[in-house]
Amino acid sequence: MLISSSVMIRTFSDPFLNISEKEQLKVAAQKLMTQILLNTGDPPEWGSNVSIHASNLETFGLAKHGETTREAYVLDPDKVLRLTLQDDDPLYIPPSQTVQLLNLGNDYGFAIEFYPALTVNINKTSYEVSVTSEKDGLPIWYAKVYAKMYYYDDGQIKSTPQISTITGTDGKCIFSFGITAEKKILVLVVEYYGIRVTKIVNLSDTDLNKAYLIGNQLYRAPDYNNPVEIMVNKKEGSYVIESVTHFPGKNIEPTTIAVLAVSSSDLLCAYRLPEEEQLMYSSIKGMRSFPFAYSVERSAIILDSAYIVRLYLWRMSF
Amino acid sequence: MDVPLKHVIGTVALIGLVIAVGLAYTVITSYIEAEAARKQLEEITEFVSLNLVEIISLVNFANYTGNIQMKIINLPADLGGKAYLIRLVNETGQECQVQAQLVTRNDVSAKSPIPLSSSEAKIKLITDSEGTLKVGEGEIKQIFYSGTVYGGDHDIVVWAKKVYSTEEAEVSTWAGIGLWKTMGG
Repeated sequence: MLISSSVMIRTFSDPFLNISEKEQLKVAAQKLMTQILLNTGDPPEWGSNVSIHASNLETFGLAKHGETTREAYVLDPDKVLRLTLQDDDPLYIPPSQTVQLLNLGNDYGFAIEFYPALTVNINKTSYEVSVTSEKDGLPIWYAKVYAKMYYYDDGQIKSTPQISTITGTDGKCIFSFGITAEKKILVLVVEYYGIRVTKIVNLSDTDLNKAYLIGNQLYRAPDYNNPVEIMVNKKEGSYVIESVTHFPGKNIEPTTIAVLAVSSSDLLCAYRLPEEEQLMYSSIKGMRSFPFAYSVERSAIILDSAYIVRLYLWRMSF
Repeated sequence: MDVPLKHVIGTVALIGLVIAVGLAYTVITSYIEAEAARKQLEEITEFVSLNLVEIISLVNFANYTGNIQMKIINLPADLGGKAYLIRLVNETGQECQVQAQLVTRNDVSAKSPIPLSSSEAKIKLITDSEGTLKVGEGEIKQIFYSGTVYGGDHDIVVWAKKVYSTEEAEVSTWAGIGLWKTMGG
């Protein structure tokens, strides 16, 4: 009877302990999310300063640093970019270092995902753009879509006039540019009730020469010429996709979303953020989640575009 | 003679068995009780450390020094009738943690890391000193900060403020735990 009552006590207490464990994981995830999204890290300009490597970081945080003003939940694109570089890149921040900086020790594992707030897809042949909600894939009706094509022609970078339209009830709209050039990219800006999503799509059949924009300089860029900076500005309630000539040696504007240039008779595109739809950074490579992981979600702004940041936190030991 | 001796041995063995089973029961229930208390302590430490991180983030948004931000945190007065302590510790000199433990049992404790490096010059967690902080003009209550607070106390607070150090010519954020109470109260 005593043995059976011991077993019963153990059995009855299990659900309580499990609930308590989940509650603790939830609070721990919220704490990490606060630290990652609201803290700049130390040194605060670690994203754009290429002389700062993982070993120089004192604290981890992705918030954008400002000398005079700061906004909540506005992330630094350079910091986010540095999480997605190749493992052997000197500017890459390895997850093992982040685990250490967040004082997680060997107790926890984590993964962070960044999704655009709206999912924007394009058919590369018909130029049909579809806008859907991130979570359940529902079509977004009445979203304003601005598009401008940049293409490589006769050794020069040329562009079409900007076209704007509105998505239909199926969340779709079609553009027509009449450009037959082989190397081309499309800059799309989607706005839906104040939510803005910017997307740069390579419409060429082959990969472009790729580089990155970190701080005010091009990173991992081969020799190039005729560079142009692409920016998205808001004028009189509408978005305008603009390009200005970049003069080598001069700093790149902080609002530039990409730099296009000619390199080896091809188009070079330097991205401020990776072109992939979804960015992931995990303490276990390639693993987004883990059994019994707890996830927290927040909205954040990266380069004036709305993103959803999802953090998964799990215990490494039970 | 044989029969009474057998009875004695049997009775002693039975008593021994009952005591052993009783002890085993006590040990098991005590272990389960400690485990439940540990889980509750873990929740408390996570909650305190979440609030500390939030208050530090809030203060870091301000561009000026001297302004103290604090938040009163609601914690259970006891855990199943047992008192507990909350501590800010910096054991290795690198890792800051919030620790909680039962007053009567040091072995029943929990910790939660604060995701900030204590070596970072810009953040200073007050783990081992005591003092008072005045929050506003005309306010009769003050923050009595300390590295350790008793869980049963009323109005436990987490606080943070920006401080300008003339020696290092740098602004840093100080943060800690304490009690929100009137002088002598």
